[in-house]
Amino acid sequence: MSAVLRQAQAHAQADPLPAPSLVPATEPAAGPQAPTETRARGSVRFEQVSKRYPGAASGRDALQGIDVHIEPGQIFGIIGRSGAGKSSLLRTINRLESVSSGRVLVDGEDISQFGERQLVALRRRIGMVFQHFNLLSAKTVWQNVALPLKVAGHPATEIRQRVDELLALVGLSDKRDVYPSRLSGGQKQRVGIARALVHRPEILLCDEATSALDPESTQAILALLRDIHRQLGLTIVLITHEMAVIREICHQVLVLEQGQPVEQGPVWQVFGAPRHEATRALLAPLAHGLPVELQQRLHLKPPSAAHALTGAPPRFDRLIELSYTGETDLLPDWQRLATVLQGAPRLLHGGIEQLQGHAHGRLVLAIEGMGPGAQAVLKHQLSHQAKDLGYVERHL
Amino acid sequence: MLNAISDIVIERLLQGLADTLTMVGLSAGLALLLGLPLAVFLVLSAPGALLASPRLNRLLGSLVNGFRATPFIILLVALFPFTRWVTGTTIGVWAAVVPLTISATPFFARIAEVGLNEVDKGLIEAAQAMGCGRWHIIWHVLLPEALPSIVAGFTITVVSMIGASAMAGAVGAGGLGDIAIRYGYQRFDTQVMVLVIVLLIALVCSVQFAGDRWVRHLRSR
Repeated sequence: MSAVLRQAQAHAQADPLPAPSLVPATEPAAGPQAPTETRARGSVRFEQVSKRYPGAASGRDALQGIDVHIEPGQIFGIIGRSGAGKSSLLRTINRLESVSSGRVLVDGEDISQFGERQLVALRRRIGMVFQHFNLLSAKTVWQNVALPLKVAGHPATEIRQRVDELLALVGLSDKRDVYPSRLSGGQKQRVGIARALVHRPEILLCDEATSALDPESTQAILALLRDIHRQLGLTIVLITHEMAVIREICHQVLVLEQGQPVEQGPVWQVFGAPRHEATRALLAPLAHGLPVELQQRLHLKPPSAAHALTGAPPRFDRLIELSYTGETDLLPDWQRLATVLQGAPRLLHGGIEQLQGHAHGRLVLAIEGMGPGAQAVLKHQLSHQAKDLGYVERHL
Repeated sequence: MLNAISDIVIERLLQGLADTLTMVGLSAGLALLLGLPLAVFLVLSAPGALLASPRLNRLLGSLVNGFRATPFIILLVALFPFTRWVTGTTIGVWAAVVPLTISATPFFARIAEVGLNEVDKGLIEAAQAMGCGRWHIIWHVLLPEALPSIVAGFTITVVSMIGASAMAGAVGAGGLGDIAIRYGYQRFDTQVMVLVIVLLIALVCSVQFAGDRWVRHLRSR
């Protein structure tokens, strides 16, 4: 057990998450008002952003009081249930949606002040990937990727070189003359990503980029995004309703609920100890419930005397759940557990994984003959979050 | 039967075919040139669209509907003053081209509008996100993506224009329809009537066939 965990830890150390301070490999924007700041580019700041759609029946704002800073080079996840305002918030970054009040600053500039030309220049600094790919069906893969450069008036030789380069990056060089309708979902999204990167953006927006894909393609696309982030060091802002996507690649996560930010922080923290009900609901699919077999044998109260009448009194174990939320550096220390619990606890169920280098998960232990006060001792001694689940009959 | 067709009849039919093709060809070309921009503008000026201006949109929409509601034969006569102003005459091929164009343009514009409206809004959003201006969106997204529908709509327009051109005889523009009425109907020449019908069917079928083939080719991508 501990060998496995140590291995997991060693693996986590050997493969650290990319530092969020990589310098973006972007060229200066061609826009007329290139930002004068010299620090790493690709920061986004929302200041008291609210959004209300004209004629919205509910009378509630689609976005309300968003105050968030996205650091350059981060992979920033926005999650929420459908209708939570994720999509609107993401679209305020490249002004596909305008805000009703508040400001959105990209690299320190208030983008609501931008005129038509500045807006076009801004959008060339921000790539966007869509859930349904949004590729032009009348154009080949190559033409789709080339289009942003073409409308920007780049010379043909430069376009050819850049498009070939990007198709190689996303692994679709052999599909260059194929029309999108001949591609699989995963391949279409690769084209979408290549197209989004063609202007060497400093920010990449992903709008449910994996939600229309099967699990295998989802993993491949996430791996590609991680790769791109490592190579180019750009800021990635992604929205999703799948917690697994956030866990897979994000550094920071923002939870939206009915247009309001309800929770924000490093992924390990938010996942380890979700504070808001919405976060817990979103996390539910990831949480492993007790195995059915164990649940059926679980008694919430101590064994009653009724059992004793049937003959030999059955023996009961106390069931304890230990949660690892990443708050401490602690990894499950089997020896120490055994010492504190006085006797050999049996491991019935559980799993621990590494989230950004923090242990995250839980163990369910069966302990023989533990008194009612033991839980406090356990908590104190191990600084775990320990929870008393009940009693199970011991198999003889 | 075939031997019985005199050279004069054949010559007349060929002349009629040439007149029909000229009238329909000219006005179809004009309807395309005028109708497509009109359709694009109707789509873009709709409320919530790229160039939203609801009032102008409603005005143009009513104008289009008005012209479409007027039967062609009435339009033909009602437009005489306008036709004379444009072409200097109210008889002949050119006198027919003006009302044909004016009748076909709104028809085609409405059909093309439907095709343009069917272009996925996500594509327009994607184009905006990649830094496309309005003209880029029209040229690189709207028109190419709607092309199959536009071609199909144009085919329908041309076919219905062939039908309408039969009335052009009323202004002395000639054409197959004119021959059928004057020789086939008024002189009880069944042979001419049958030949005209066969020619018209062949003409309509070949237009439809060519249009369908093109659409199929475009859709196969």
